[in-house]
Amino acid sequence: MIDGARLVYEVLTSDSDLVAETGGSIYGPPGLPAGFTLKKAVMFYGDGGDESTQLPVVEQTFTFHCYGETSAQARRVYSVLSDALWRKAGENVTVNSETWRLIFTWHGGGPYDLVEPELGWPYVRVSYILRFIREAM
Amino acid sequence: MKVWATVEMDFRGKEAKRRGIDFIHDYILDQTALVEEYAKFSVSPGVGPGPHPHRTEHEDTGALRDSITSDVDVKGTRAIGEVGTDLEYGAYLEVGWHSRAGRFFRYPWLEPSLRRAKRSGPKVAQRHAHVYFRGDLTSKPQRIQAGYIPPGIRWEPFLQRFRGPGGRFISREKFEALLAQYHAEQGIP
Repeated sequence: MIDGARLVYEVLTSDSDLVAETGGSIYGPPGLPAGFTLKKAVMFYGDGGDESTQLPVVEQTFTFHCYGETSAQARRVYSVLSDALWRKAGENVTVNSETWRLIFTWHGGGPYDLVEPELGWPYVRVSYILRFIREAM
Repeated sequence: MKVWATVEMDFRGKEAKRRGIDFIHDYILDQTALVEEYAKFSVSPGVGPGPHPHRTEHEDTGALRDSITSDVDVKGTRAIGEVGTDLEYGAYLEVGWHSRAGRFFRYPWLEPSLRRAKRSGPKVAQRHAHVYFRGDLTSKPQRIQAGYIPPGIRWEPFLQRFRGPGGRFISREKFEALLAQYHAEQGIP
């Protein structure tokens, strides 16, 4: 069994456009790191799905929070993230010496322009369903 | 001499349509009630997230549970069930938030309820199909399938907000204008 969030992290950090847009500020669970100050960034977490112990398939919903100093910047991060996920469909990532292929990306909800209630930070919330399949050893 | 072969089919279309609409209405009513029941249970005192995670003066009053309501809207052959709350913190529990200390809190209570209810959708649909389509309209009511319910949540306008330069809240129109300006500055088509 593999951690789906780890696969998504590898997919996102291997996209040069997204890394350039966010300056590499891409964070998986449990959230933004302590001491984070508002800038362009992507934070995501798994939102349910299947990690089969029998089949080499991971299909999960992932929710992404795209941050920026303004709502417009957050939207820009979201559009780069969206492009990255569509572009990466069909490509491989390697985690723990296993190669996984992102088979498809399916839009699951959003985008919604929101503001963090305690911090006042603008972000765009969007969900995608991602399916990975492990390549034959 | 003429030979006539006549094939007739009495589909009773109006009757089928009426039964279909009644079926959809009852099915969505049941599904919506299920979502509401699951959602209320998941935020009940003792089951739900409890008081505010970092405000000690807060206590679990069950206000969120009591605020959850549902409604079914039927328009022609389409029925839409809605379950939700007007309490803003209910929405933030659903989507999550970062505290000032940098910790991410989240207690989704609506979408899991939707998914849970959706799992029982085929059985509920089958039960209603037996009621509405038994007899001469179809001999195999168990083959009738309910429509797909996308497990999505539409956020109410109070949750969608926009921030402009300087951290000011701005209107959607202003945001759209700033977004276009930002794209022009960045050379984004």
